[in-house]
Amino acid sequence: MPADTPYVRTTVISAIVYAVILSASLWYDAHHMDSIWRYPVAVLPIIPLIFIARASVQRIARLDELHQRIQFNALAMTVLVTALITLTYGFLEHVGLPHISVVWVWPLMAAVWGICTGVTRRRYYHS
Amino acid sequence: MRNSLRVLRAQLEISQAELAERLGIARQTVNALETGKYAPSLPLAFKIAKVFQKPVEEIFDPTDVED
Repeated sequence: MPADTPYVRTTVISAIVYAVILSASLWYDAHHMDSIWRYPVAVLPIIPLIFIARASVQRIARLDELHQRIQFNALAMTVLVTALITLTYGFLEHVGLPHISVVWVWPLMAAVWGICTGVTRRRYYHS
Repeated sequence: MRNSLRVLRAQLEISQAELAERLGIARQTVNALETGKYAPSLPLAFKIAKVFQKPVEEIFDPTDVED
């Protein structure tokens, strides 16, 4: 797939902003544990992530028909695989395995998405 | 779906990348079309026909497509 400069630019800038805001948010939480503002400050890191999400949707819309099909198939597989993994671990948590925060679901889904995209691509790419 | 894209492209003496640019698609998509691993949508098929100045049915062979 060709490089998508607007997507890369938005993602890199948003990732940097995310890291800065997250650090500030964590600092605020550590130093203002009784403040009601902890809650809105805690979710501030989502703002740059919204820009990354929008850039991702726009990127997929710019893909040609084959690559949109690859992404559609990969995302469908990703949803099912992630559901199976998280449900399996949920059952195992119930019988005693350590609790894992939901914040790890997205990194898991992103990793599965990468694998499923690679698997789906092989159907169409000349080896 | 079998097709004569590779032959037609060779006759025009253009690369996959050039054809991809003319069609507004990725080079990998041109490769998938030529190897028969991907069948184009109707709009893309007509775009391809316009580039090669041939009817769609002369470029793509639907005989191995299931009914």
